[in-house]
Amino acid sequence: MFEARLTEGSLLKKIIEAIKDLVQEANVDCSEEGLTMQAMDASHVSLCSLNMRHGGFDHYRCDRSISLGLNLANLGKILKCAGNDDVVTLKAEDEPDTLTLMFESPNQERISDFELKLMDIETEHLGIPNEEYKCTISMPSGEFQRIVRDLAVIGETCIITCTKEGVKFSVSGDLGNGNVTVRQSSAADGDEKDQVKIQMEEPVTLNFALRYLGFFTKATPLGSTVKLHMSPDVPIVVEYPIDGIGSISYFLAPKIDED
Amino acid sequence: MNIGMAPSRKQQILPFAFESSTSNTSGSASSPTEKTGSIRNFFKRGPSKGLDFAARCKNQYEDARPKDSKEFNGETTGTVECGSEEMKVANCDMLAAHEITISNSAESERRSKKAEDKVVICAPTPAANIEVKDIQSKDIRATSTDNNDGINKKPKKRLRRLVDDEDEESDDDLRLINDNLQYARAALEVVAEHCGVKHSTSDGTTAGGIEHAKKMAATEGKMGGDDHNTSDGENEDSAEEGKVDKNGQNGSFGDENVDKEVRLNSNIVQPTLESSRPPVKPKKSSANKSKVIAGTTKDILEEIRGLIPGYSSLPYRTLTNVLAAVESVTGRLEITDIIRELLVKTIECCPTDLPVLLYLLCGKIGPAYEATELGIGEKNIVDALVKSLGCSASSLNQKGEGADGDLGTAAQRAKASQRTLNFGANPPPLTCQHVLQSFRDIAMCSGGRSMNQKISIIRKLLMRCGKEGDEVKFLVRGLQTKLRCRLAEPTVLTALAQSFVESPREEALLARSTKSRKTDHNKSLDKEDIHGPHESEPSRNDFLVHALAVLRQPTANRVQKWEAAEAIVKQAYSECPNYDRLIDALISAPLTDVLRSCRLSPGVPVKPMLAKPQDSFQEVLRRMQGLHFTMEYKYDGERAQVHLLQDGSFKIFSRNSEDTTTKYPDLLPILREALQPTTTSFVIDAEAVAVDPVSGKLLPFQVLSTRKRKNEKAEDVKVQVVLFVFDILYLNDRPILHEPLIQRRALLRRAFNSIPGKFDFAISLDHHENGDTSPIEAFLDEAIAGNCEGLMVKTLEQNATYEPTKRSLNWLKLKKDYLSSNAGPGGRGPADSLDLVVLGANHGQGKRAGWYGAFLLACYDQEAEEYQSVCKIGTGFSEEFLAAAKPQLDFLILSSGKPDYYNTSLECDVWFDPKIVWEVRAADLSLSPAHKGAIDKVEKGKGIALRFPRFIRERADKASEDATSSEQIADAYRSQALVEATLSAGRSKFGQEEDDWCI
Repeated sequence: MFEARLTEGSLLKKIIEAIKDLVQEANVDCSEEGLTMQAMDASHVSLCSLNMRHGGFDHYRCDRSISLGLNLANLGKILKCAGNDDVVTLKAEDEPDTLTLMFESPNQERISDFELKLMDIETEHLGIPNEEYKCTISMPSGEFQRIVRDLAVIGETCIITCTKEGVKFSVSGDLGNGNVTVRQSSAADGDEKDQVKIQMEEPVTLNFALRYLGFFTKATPLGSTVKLHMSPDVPIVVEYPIDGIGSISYFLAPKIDED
Repeated sequence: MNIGMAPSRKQQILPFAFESSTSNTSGSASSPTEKTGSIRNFFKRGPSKGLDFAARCKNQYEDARPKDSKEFNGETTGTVECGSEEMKVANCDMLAAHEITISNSAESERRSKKAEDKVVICAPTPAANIEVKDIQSKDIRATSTDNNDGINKKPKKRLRRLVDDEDEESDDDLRLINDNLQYARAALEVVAEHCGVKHSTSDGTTAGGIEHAKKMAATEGKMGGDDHNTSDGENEDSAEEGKVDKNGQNGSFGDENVDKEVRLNSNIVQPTLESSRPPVKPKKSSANKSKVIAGTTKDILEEIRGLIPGYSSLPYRTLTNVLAAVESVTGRLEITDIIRELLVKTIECCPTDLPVLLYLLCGKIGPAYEATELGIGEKNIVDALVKSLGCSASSLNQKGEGADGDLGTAAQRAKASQRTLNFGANPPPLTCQHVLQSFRDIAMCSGGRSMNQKISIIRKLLMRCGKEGDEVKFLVRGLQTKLRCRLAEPTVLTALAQSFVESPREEALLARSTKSRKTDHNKSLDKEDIHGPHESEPSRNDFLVHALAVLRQPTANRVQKWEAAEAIVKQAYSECPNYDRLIDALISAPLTDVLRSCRLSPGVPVKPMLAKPQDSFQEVLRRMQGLHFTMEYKYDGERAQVHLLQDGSFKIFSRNSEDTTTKYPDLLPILREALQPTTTSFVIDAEAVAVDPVSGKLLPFQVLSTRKRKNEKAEDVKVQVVLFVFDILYLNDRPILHEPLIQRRALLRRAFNSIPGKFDFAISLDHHENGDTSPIEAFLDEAIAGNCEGLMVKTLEQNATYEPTKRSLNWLKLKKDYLSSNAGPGGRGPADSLDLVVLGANHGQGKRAGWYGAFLLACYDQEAEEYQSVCKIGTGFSEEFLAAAKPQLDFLILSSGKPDYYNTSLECDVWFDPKIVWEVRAADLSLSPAHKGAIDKVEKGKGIALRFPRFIRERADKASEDATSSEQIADAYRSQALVEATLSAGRSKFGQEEDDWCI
């Protein structure tokens, strides 16, 4: 028996919104510790990793580990039926064919439940290493979204250069080129959430497809901060911490410099 | 010998690493390592770099040569032994292990010691300069790096070599060899890498290896025709060459050689890699090579076996590398050589993959008559690429321009620029089977969301493609159903035929079959082989009888055998255009028996026999000289090949082998009615013609073309048709296309009743050529009066078999407007109208604003696999037609602009996918610098253009590949030139000036 209850049901909506354009089908693994999901996009260029600790749920019970093969687009459709303030409960049997979703309005006036058919999805065992990254940039998620959106107008590849002074996002395309540089905030400046922090061992420059970064920024509503982890020649990790429950991280393989 | 595991492979297994990592070479950056590395890069970068590489090899060779040639002391006759070192290079390359090369040089030294006084000078191999220093003697043998000098030479040359006594070609050959290295490499790397592995698992034991080595050498000997005898210690000179029997009977001594070698070297393994060598060598020793390779491959094979699990299917990469090699060469013969070697290897390693391979090579997903189309446009492919490769559509198109408009090349570049994640979840490499299956899945997708499904299948394929190599390129081209590497189906069939001649199993099959048949019965074999067991009449297909005889003859040389096999395979394929069945027959029986099982059968349409246009009665008489022939009305309708299957169901196929049964539901009851009760199955060739039900008059094709193309209901039919039958190919379980027409026609008339106005026999008149044209003229007038296009003239007895696919001189077509008096001014117009492909268009102006105004039309050149423009056309169109054509053409617009396989110097506002064929008439043909029709065929650098082209109608029944060929254009031009010459000669008698009708 698996049961998980989130008072803030809209959180689940946002999470699925943040994933479904990148990954169409995925296995969500439920265990005593919580929910995890790792899935690569169809091209194996990016990977999305979701982690929700059991402590973040209002109620969590998982008698034995199960894997839920979900079509995320369909799950998104069902979640559209939930109100923004609804309490959402997920339920599944020990050997489930379906996932039950129950939506309760805050005043308990309306209770709806839906069953989503599960699918058999080939599991890819993914060994994601715990890497020490040479650069870690923490910045407001809205700022990152804006940069990606703006640069995508100009070109398809974004060069991210991280130095002590700041992070530079550059793009070039047919109509011209552009750079956005974000500087490290001084410690005194305003709210911690609006600050840009850079931890760096050595400067790193990498190229990425803006198309994928664009997908990642769908997670912006999940948190006010985004963290970018970079090392030379390995995938960037774009991590969105979700307050109190876990995080969603995207891995993206760099593009090879065309020269 | 400890060979380090290839770093590149190892790396893929690491849980977290990209394909690119730089610090992968084990050991120091010593010079051999560097060189090996650079060669590896060469492969990764593909064939475009091949030239550089070849040039570099050449330079190295030139550098080394002065010294060597001094040592040679003018002994230019020193034998060149080839193949061995080259193999080493390839091997080293695969494993990136320079150790192998070193041990090779050790091997060479050992060999030279064994040969005592012999000195081996190794030409510098690119992998590592092997230098053997103990140069002390008079006998000199140069070991070159060649393994493929045959590939660039045409068989003619080869043949000449066979009889050539002199041998002064060592030096030249060495150079040539180096030049040619690149072709071999791409193909070789591949085949060796994958098939070699698989093969080795099948018979890796020493005994098996020896057997195999013998067999290989035996075939080699036969193939090469003039192998040197280069067993150890023997002093070789140019006289050796002279000893060689040009019939290639020296296979036996090749055999002995190997035997000797085998005994000498207990470590021997079968020369698997050697056999993967793509080209054919006209000379050089196979035995010597076997030894060297045998000595080195064993360990390598062991290593590879550990690295790659046995392939159950041919890797797609193997195919794409071969295609890349094909793309980099230009000659038909070279292409055939490469494809043949691939097929030989496939026959050996994974024969079940052969049909798959053939479909992919031909850019098909199934037999033509199954009408399986992928149903994806370029836009959809771009969509899938954008989603997969993280690039924008516009950048793909721009890159496309840089890459000569080829989306495949653009996609390959995009793929190479985007790394993929590699979290221990490596997708297995693509296999040919998987690719073809995916293509078929794409074709099967239907319904509302089918395009999404199709795109997701494409994305999965793209994901599994290698970042390097040409998989993406050819995958994309495969999706466009144009491989664009000058590989036409006839070439594939030729290579297929040759590969079965080369295949060692062929001999065994032949021996078994001859034996069993001799014991069975002593009837005339040839007859049966061609016609199957029911046949009663002797065959008139002399070329097939001859081909069979050649194949049975053990002394026939390989070129003869190749030609014979080609005739048989092409015949089999034309009767049974289905690779699955063809391969089945080839695998299970020797070539001599293929025609017994690959026969015409109801349900499998054959391409119709075609006729040559004639422009004068005299010409017809000349062709039919002294023969008994028949003239039939040439009806103005649509060709229909009607089949009655064993289960009683009817199938109607178009000229294009498309199933058009649903277009003619009204014909089915008529056919049933017309059948004689004794007729249980048949294939007939007929013309469906529109008819006015009231007056019974025949109506022109344009009326017929207003019928619905598919799923017409019998009760809704607006245009009535009558079926005129003129030939029968199969009757009551018996293919009869080898019978002469006179008998076929008799059988046809016995098998059916005519039903006037619904089902009839084509009106015909038999005639004996007697020099008088008046009966033909009179009959032609009758035909025209009966609303027919003209006459078909066919031989009745001589050369009167039905030859599918062929445009034969045994059938002539005579249209009223072909006749000189009716053609363009001065009778110089092309005899027939032309069917041309619409390549592009300009936007219309004035009255035609909003539509297209002028169109660029082209003929198809099968050899170059390109469309060659022949005219811009703007006349002959009705407004209705232009209005209707606009949306149809808009759907075919190519967003990436002009593709590189459009050969024209003209520009268009928009370019289309080559799908639409129009029938066009023209006043005459002229040489043109702008148009490229039949370029170089008539005059170097000049194409042929149509003058005053006029649109007649759309030919929806023709595919763009069936359009008028460049060869036909060239023919038309030549015959026009002939007429012109005669005319002007005639005119000058009367002192007349040439008409200035054409300005």
